[in-house]
Amino acid sequence: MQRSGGRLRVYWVSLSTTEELLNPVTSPSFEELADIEYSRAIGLAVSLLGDRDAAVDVAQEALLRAYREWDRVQRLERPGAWVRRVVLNLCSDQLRRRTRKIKLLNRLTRQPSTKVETSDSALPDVQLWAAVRQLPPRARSVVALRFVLDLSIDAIADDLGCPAGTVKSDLSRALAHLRTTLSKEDR
Amino acid sequence: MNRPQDLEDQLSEGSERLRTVADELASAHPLATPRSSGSRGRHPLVLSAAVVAVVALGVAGLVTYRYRSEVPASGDIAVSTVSPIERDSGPTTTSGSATTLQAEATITLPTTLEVQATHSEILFASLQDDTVVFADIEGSILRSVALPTVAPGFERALVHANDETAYVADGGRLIVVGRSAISEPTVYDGYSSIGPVSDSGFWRSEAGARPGFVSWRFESFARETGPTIELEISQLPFGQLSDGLAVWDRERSQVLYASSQSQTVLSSHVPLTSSDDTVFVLDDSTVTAVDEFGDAQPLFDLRGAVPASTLEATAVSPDHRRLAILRKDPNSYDVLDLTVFDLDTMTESAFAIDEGARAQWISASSILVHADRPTAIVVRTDSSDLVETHLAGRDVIAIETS
Repeated sequence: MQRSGGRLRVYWVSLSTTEELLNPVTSPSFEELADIEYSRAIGLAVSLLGDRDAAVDVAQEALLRAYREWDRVQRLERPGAWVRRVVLNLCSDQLRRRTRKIKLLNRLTRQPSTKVETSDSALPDVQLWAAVRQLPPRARSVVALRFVLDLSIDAIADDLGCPAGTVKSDLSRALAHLRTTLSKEDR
Repeated sequence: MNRPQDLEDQLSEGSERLRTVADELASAHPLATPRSSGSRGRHPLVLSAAVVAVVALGVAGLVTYRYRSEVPASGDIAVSTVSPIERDSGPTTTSGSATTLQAEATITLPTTLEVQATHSEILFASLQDDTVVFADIEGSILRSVALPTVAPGFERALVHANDETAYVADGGRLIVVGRSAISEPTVYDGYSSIGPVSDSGFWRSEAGARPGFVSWRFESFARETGPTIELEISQLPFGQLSDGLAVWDRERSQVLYASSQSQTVLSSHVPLTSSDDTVFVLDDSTVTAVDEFGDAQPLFDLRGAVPASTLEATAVSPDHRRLAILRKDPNSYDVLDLTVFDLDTMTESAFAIDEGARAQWISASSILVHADRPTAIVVRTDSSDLVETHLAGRDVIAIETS
């Protein structure tokens, strides 16, 4: 009886663990989330900002926010998506600030300049990602999520809170625009 | 020419290289390892974030920040043209140098100056007891509007004005009065007396979702609302930046830029005022412009004087090229002058005005000074015209600075 009970207990634990893997009912720890998402957050931010220092700052800020809000974030179905949304928002914020800063500098120096891009020449494929960053905000997010993070169309739609059809058309238009831009630059 | 599959291959391969970079960066800057100061200089904003991170995470030390500042690319900004002006002595003496300071002479005039024809173009709004008066610079009243019933226990104040509209704070209400004869005053509820007001709307406040916090939200005069910004009770907005608020954190003695998504520490000095993308602070006795990234540019030395009432007596002209500061003696707190700094020419002009006066820019080059007493002492500088006019027994002085 005792032996049988022991077997039952082991079996129950094993079953529960399998269920958690397939459909998690217990949340990941913050450390587990950070292990997976930190590097991905940096990659996403690098592609959107073209600046390694800024990307690391953004990724750290996103995870710091996740830590502060952990009580709430850990109960979400996809905490990683929450972190990615924060990264996308922070990147948009930074790009807006860059534009504003250029305007301020123009006003102070009275010398018009449209240079908004940073030039982190140590990054690979500078021209390609610079063209991605010129896309409208949602389109560049879609491209980065699709290629840098290798997310499916459905996962991107979940992340961005929009229908999958919208993501598909955004991606299609973005790629068409990139082809035009890059072929002009090649000439 | 890129073929369809070529571009996607290119993006996939490029992404793989970016992921490698990201992995390297993640290894070089691990979350669990405290970082040393970077080589790009220390930034108060990130320093503060580091403190917050350490406080938030305690002994776990999971996240720390590198110190980092944004350095403008070479040639982007001519710092050499932005330097404090030197002056020999106090504001009531004649002084100056040929290169940096306009010659100035201070003359006390007990009589009304002759009104020049050009000034009739200048219109302004003034609050006279419970009436908003629109007038021209000669004192001709164009429209006088009695305000709705006063909210009990609150003193009304003119918080913002242009030549077409006056914005009056009345307790928890904001009353908007137009110069047009057909417009009726419009009342907006939910206004906080410290919330910034602009030509397009105002910031309203209500109790925050968390105890000890206040929710701020921009509401346009078309009744459209923006995103919510949560601030602690001790964090007071004093200006509107491009898509957020300039905030003075009294407890931490810091100037912040707060948006709906983040808070950024801009400065640890006392704020004077803000324009739409710049905060002006007093660093020791130097007026310093700080942009939304915390980059600071020293502008003018007040030579030991202090601003009278920072957020009332300091004002940026509509074109952001001039700054007016009512200066006080740091020991006696007597009013010294109203000093106008010109950011283009890096020159300054001093005007003697009465104690308790408030300065308000009514055009890029004209300041309106509301004096509390009916007998204003009017001062004229060589470089400026100045007009004294009278509205309902109260003197109003207009200073043309160009």
